[in-house]
Amino acid sequence: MSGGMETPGSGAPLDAGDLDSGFSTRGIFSEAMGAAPSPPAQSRQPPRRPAQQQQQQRQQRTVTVDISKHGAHINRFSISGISRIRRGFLSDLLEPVFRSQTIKEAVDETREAAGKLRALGMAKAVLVEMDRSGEKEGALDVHFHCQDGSRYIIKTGVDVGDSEGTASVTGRVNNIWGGGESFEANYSRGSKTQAAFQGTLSAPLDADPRKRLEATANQAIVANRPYSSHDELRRTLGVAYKHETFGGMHELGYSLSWRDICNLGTHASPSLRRDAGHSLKSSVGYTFLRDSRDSATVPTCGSYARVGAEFAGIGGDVQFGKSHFEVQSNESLGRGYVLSSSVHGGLLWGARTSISDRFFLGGNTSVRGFEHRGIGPRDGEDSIGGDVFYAAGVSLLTPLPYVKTDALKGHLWANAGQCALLDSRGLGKTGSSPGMTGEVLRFLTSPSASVGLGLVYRHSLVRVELSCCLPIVATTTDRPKPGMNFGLGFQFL
Amino acid sequence: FPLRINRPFFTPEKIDNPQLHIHRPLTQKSSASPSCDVKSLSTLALLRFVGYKVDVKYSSEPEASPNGRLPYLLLSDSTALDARGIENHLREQGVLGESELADEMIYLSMVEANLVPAVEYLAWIDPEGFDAIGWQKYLGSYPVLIRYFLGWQRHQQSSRKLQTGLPEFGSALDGDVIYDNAFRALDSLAVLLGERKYFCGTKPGALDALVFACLNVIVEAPLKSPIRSAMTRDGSKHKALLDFTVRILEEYFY
Repeated sequence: MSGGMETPGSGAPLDAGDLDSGFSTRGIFSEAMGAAPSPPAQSRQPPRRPAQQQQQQRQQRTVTVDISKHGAHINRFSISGISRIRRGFLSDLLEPVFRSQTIKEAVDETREAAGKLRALGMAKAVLVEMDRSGEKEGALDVHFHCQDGSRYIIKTGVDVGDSEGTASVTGRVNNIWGGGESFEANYSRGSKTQAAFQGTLSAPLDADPRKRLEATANQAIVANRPYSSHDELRRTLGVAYKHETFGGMHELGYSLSWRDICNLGTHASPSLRRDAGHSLKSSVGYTFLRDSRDSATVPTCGSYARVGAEFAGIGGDVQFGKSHFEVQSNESLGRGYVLSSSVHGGLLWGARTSISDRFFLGGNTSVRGFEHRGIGPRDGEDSIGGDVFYAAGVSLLTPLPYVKTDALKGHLWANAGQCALLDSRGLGKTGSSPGMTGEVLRFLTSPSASVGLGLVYRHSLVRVELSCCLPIVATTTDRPKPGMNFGLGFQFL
Repeated sequence: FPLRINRPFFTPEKIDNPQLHIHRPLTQKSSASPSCDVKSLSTLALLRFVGYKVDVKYSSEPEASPNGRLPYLLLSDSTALDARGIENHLREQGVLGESELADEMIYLSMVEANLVPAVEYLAWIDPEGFDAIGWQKYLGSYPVLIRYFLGWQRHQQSSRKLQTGLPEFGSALDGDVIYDNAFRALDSLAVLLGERKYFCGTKPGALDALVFACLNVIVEAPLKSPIRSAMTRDGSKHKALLDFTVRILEEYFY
């Protein structure tokens, strides 16, 4: 794979300035159009005619060539401009290209291969040249002119998550072994996650960026003291297989996570002390994600679905089964009005669940009008999470008068949800009226709820909300937060 | 208005009696060795001496304690007290009075400086003791991966803490020196006890609890150690201390 290649009649060799995601097929189509008659000599310089007649003539000369019916195969492939590429990777990448039977297939597959090189970061831009092969009849030679991708990237930044700001440093090495592999290391500090380090090694399978194998190692200290009187130190190793199809993204993975509930506050509750200390979670999990929204932060159309399941107990000292789902739908009503609705839910079942694995509800990106983790089981001042939860929200985005920008909208919303434990402290309470069935029914029909109105601003990175919240239903252990609330994040209810 | 309040879906566990969370017993027979940990056992013994009723809960998680070390006492109002807090609480309750032994504090310091390190050496440094006490009892409830890491961590901490000698002349971890110091402390305690029933006079106190805890762990640990051999052989000059340990066990734990 070396050297450049000039296309016939192209003049000077291509340089970096000429490279784009272009495609050159001059030689091929002249052959495909070989049946088109050449104009007679005396008409090579036709006399001046009215414009209408000239256009008519051009239309009459147009010949349609169906390249899907013209047989062709790839004879030779060459590539230039990439500093490092493995032979085995190139074989996987070009296998569909060499299997092409028609010109159309050849064009499509070479375009696909060029796109994969760009998607894997191995090339910033690829110009594909395709020409008749001088060696074989009915064969094509293909050449990729590549602009080498960046090998090393270091960046610093300030990110915003769900009600959390973090400052981070990220380093990335691309195309480590010539097959599109990458290694990324990230260190961040934030308002909730005190210190976090993550390293991820990623490699494509079958030279396809949509199929990836990832190995991850991370360590994070999460400060939960304001809500639950403890910090959590998590060290995790994981491997995952990710496959992106037209239907969505599938992820199947295994993780080994060592958790330490530590630094308990002086007034930590007995429920929290029960969960304090070390635990080792060994689990397999599956997640499916499908996102057809036009925007992740303030969508106006499309839907979002995320479903996941996790099973822990293969080794370790934690056994549970966990499932969760999240569905969002957005409908444009015209004139700038957008109706959005979403439903979340989750279930955790096991002999004895830990605060590290439970669900939490409440907050500006969850059920608005309540403090962060402000809905659900609470022992003293500590929110201890639930084994089962559901939440639903509906909102209407409206245009604002005298506001020309589409990024700022009015916002009317209603949220509701509930969270509970399944053991004897929660829905599994025995020996009391009205019994377990009655408690479950009450759980399903008595959500904590709030309504409100405000403004939404769509930034390129994040969604910003300012809402006037009015909680209307709560339990005695909830923490309603009426009044003006500010929210910053990606995913909102 | 207009907030409507519902009953919660959570009821915290009710604590009827104060709960004392301590490390696990040393052997299967919990009455013979109520705990593998000196501090846990001495606190339990002190509570038994003053007649303070508690429910004993075995735990391996010192992180649950207010000071990061077991034992801790969980009261009915959900307040948690560490070892020092327990003593203060007993004094506030009026069940723990002043000791009859005038120099109790001096003897307590002597035991903590000479006898307690010997038990820690036995549990975390001595290879046989580490297998029998540290690995099996302190870390027994953890998965293997965590056990290895915490065991190594605790071994390193104890190694640094138990080094003897002056730093400027090069301190080192020397088991012989630690055991020699322990024997000297035992000699002093044997003289102090003499023919009496308890160290502190007519009723047992904090010194009795601490000495009992150290000796019980040494004697009941399923392994040979120099101190155990010295105390249990025929004609030992420390027989009175051995009898004292058995007497406390029979009076307050069986």
